[in-house]
Amino acid sequence: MPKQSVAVLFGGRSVEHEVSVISAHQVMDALEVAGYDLLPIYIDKQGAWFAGRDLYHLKQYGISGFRPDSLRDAHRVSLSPDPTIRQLVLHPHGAKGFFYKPAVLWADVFFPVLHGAFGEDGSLQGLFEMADVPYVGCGVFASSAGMDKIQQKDLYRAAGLPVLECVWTHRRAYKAALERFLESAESRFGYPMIAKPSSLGSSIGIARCNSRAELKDAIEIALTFDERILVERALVDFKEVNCSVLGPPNRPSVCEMPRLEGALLSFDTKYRAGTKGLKSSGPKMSKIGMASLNRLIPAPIPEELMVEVQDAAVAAFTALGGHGIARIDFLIDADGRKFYVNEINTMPGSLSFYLWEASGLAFDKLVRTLVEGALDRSKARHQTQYSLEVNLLSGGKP
Amino acid sequence: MTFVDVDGLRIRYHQAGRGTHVLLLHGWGGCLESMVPISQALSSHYRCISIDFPGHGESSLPARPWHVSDFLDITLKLMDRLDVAQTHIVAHSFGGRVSIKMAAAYPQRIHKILFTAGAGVPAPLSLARKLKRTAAHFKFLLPKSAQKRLLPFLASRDYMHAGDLRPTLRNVLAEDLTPYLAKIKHPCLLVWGDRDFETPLHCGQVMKRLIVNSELIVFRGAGHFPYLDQPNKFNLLAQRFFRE
Repeated sequence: MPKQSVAVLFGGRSVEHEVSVISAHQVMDALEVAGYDLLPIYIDKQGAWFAGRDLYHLKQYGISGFRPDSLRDAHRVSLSPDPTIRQLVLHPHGAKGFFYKPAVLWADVFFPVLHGAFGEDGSLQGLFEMADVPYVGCGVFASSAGMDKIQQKDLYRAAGLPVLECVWTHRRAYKAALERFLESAESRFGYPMIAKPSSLGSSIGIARCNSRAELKDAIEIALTFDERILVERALVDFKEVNCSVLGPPNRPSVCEMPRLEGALLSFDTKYRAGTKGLKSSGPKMSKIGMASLNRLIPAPIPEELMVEVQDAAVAAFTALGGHGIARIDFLIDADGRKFYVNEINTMPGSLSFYLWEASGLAFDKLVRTLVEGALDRSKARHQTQYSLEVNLLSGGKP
Repeated sequence: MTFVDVDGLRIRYHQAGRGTHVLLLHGWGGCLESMVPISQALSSHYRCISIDFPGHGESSLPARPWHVSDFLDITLKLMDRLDVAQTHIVAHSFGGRVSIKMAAAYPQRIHKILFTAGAGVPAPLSLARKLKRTAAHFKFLLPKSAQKRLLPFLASRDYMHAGDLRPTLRNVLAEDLTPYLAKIKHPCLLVWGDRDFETPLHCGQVMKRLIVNSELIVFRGAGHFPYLDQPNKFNLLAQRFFRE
């Protein structure tokens, strides 16, 4: 039986481009070990797509001025939304030499390992749906809701899950009524507060504010990253606990407690900790990206609280209609009794493989579970009828 | 680090983790630290034991030139001292020679072997190596001083750095272990880099052909140290191999 092939998409038009490159190489290693054929698809920061084996080499992405089109086996391509075209479409300028033609570039399953905008927010998932290809991870709605910190609070609240209340504003509305918004936030929560963009991950643009001046600055910065921002009460002496969910059937991993440096887990803490020397010495892949973060697994919290958090993680994943994998982040208040759902990551850094390894599921088995889940969902979707044989314009005849 | 005296030699070793034993055998010129990335990846599920072969790292130097069988003897005695009746093995390069002999002569001491860039099968000679070898045969025609100056160009890097172990290295390299391969019935995973110029992929292919229960995995773009060139994939493979 021929090996199944998996196209791994990474990079992308997102501030989390490099994080995605690291996560994707970890995923590709695991897919190879699990016995799949690989088709790496790199999306550069301008949004151009390249496909080919030569893109599976982490060190080259650390070289300044790296050009994927200079690689021998890397071809400029695109995915057509037309479901009858079962191959990647070669770009008119993508051919390598007059006589060179790459083999048909296609895969049985598409595995997006993209974080943030245009990858984790439902837009790419929409393209997969249009093209009718099996793909790993959450669908259009769950991805989109998972990227929107404002809307997901409503979904969690409706599912009976505890969330921190927030006030939010739009870039235009904020400029028109700046003072009123600041006063409303101050009267509802008081300082300290947290300001964050609605749709960005990896803690980018998030700041803790202790005064009106700090809050104004933080909102200005957050508004450069997103059109909508939210402000919520900052917990004092809180702990962060994360839990991953895999499904269907939806099941939780063990919980982790990241060791915070300062009040918030910053982008640098999350990702830059393990990337020193990426260019020169060759990184130890299991120790970079989210996998490099200093953390405690399992999280040092009472057993009953752990079970409550795991149940809440599954409920949050279910509330969004999640599929595949996600990591749900929780905040636990100072006395360690009350917790809040903070946010969901529908394509978590490093796929949270370290949580699943600690739960007894090796990384290669994790990716196999995800690929098989994608194929099952695709089969199930094909049982749904989307169009009618009858042509209404021809008087009801087929 | 811990030392143990075996047959009058001081052998350095390191243990980490709990569970089934995994013995990590380094390559020529290496030491137990060479295997640390693998030990770190496996020690969450296995008891990993790394050693310095005699004459390497901080283990003491043998008093006379050794053969592969001497390295095997001392390894078996060390296993006895550490109460290791049976073990998995991860063997890099020269460590592969010791593993081949152990698997053929003492099969009951091993569960599975992961060879990475394993030595023991003679590598086909490239044109450059053929020329060097021919030149080495005729070097006696030159004065001693010229012979000494030529040595760095004719000898391998291992030989140049072998110091007091040069006679031992000559013995080791002279032994072709291909006939032992057919005797190995253990599950074996062979991990090679396609850019390995010390123990070329050809050696892995020969081992795959002659070891009945073996699988060969080739790391594209990796050299003589596949476990350092592509550590994440190597460690995942090792975990899967020993788990299944």
